[in-house]
Amino acid sequence: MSRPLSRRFIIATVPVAVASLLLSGCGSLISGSESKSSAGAQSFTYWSSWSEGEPQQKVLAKAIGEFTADTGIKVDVQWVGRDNFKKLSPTLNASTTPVDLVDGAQRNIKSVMVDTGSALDMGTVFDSKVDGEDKTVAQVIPKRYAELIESKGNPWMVPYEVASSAFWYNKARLGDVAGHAPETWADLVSMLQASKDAGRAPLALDGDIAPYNLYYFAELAVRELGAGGLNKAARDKTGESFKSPGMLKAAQHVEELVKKGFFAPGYSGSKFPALQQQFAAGKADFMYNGSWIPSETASYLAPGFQFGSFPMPSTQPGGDDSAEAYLIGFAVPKKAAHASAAEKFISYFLNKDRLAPIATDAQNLTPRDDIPAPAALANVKKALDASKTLHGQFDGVVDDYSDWTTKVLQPLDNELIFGKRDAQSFVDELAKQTKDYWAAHG
Amino acid sequence: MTLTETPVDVVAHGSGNVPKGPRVNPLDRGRKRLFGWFVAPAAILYAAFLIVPGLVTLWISVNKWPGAGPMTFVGVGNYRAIFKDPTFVASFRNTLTILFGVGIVTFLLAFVMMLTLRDLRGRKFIRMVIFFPNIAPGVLLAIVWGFLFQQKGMINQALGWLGVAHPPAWLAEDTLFLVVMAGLVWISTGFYTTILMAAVDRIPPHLFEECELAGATAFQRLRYVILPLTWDVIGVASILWTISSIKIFEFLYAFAGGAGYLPPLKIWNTSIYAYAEAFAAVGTPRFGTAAATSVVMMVLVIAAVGLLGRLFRRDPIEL
Repeated sequence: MSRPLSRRFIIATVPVAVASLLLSGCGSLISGSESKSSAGAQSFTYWSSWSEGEPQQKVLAKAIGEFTADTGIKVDVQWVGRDNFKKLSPTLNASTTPVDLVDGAQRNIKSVMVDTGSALDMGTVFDSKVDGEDKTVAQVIPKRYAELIESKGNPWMVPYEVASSAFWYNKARLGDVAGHAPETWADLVSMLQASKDAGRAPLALDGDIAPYNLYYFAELAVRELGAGGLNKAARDKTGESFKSPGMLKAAQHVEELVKKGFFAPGYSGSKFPALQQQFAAGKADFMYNGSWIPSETASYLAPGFQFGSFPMPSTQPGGDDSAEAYLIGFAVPKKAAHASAAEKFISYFLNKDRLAPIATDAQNLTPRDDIPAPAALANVKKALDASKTLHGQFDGVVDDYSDWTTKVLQPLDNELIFGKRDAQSFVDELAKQTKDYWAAHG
Repeated sequence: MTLTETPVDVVAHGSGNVPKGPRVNPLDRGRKRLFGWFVAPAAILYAAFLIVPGLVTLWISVNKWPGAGPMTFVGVGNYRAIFKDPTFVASFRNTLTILFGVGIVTFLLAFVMMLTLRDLRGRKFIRMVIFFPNIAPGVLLAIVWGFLFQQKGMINQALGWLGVAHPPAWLAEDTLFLVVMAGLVWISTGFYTTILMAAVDRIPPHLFEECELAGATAFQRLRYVILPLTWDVIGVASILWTISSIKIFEFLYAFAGGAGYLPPLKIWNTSIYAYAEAFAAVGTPRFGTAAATSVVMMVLVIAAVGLLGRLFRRDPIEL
């Protein structure tokens, strides 16, 4: 038997219902008039990972201004900063996302958008002509980079910046290194020993940044096992791969650096960027870190500092020479309301002249081989071009198994690099904890 | 007849003389309706921004969800997963260490400071100084605290002047959590000292005069006057500490995280753990386990507050 609704019930529920409807309807009210792939969209929204004032932000802002002037398409750009994916993530489930274009490191795009099935296939952008040029995007982005960002043969992002890592030093002070960069592990060790014997700190390292610590073991594991070796071990649910001789050798190399006292005093308790600043001031000779170092340290470099770099040397004759590469670029959410306008901007920005300021102004590498590298990154570019194979940052484990990397690899690596664990117990514990991790996480 | 003499009030006061079919005063009915209209907007906002998100969190906590796409119902799977995860267990242990360890030290210090400052000249100025860390943003405090404990920071320089040739690396992983806890004590002590001082200030001065005349010792004065008369305030302060300590995030993140990276695992508490699970910092977002962590934290807060409420419950003292 139905009962008439009481006035109290109506008073209690109607405002809640109205509020819910308003809240849930916001998305469709904002973008409901445009279809997802509306070709004639006159505006789109872009959440950038750069913050106002960063060199890359300035380059992109200039290109956005020119794009609007040339096409009439307005770009509602928000310089969200590195948190853009954290803010994007909850919106990806809406019927249409409030964002049409986003940029950032490939690992963020992969984990937030690709792994959740929320990234639009960028194949159409790769097939489209670069604005003002005869070539397609696929023709200007080398295949070696495109292979890093494919899922089942389809690209899920369009890179506009390439990052890598190397040993950095000041050519103005250590000019002889430029002509005799260490080619073997023994060369490197004797060079660091010479630095120490001269009373200087050989290696600067801010120990509070676990990924910076990890560079050593990860790159050495790649040198010992080849590109993909560490990555393969990470997914070995038995953990036994970490007991291989190559893995132990890589750990022993790190142990050697620690035992010989090559890291600058206080590195284990250093707070970023204290030791990076010491390196820039000339108080430490070398630092292994990313290709962003020249631009990141620009404001506190010693007068006359000239960046030189060399890659992690081979650990055995004819050994692995693959180069680390990870990409920063654009992605479009699958449910973007104005995807085609966003895609148009991507191929517009990939134009050689518009992209070149990423190298000249922002002092970073671009994926286009016809854009010269900034002087400070010339050797990094050379290593990238020379290597037959590329591997992702930390051999891709941070992209593919980042939870394992954070919870298992990095804490143990910290113990190794801070001298609290020897190489043998490091690999043994790594094998054990990896097995336990996969047992718990499937 | 006054409003307080209505049968409704009689019922409320527990009298057994309840007349059958109580007649409700029309004036009272109008007042109730009016009350309803006044409360409704707040109730709607409360429901929209507290109850609904709480229920949504509870729902997400029983689902596997990367933040986009469909949810997969996993029941208590997320709860089981986090309690199996050594990182969560360590984070939970750190949360409890902060709650009890930092809490006890903070309250002891606050009590000592309150007793010391009570009769001191310039106490208002000192109170303002020690309260300062509560006005400054947590991120700024984290930066300042970090500078103090740098390898060449003020602490190690002071140790150098005292003749310590090799001062410790305070920010190394072994001592990092200790430094963080000391920082939390530094931030919190002023706040709780201020609360306790305000509580002592409301004690009628004649009670202290009587203590003096009776020749009571300082301990007796504390035992028989100060503690009983500030007991309720200590209770409220400890509840405030419980709630805030379990949720600490920005100080830990800003103090030990760097260049956009998470702080070292050894100082994670459950807030950092939930954050790391929910966002891409540790890979594909796992909102399910993050929500389960939040629910566990919520339950911990409710249980602790309930326990403290019971511990500090006491009949009011007539002054």
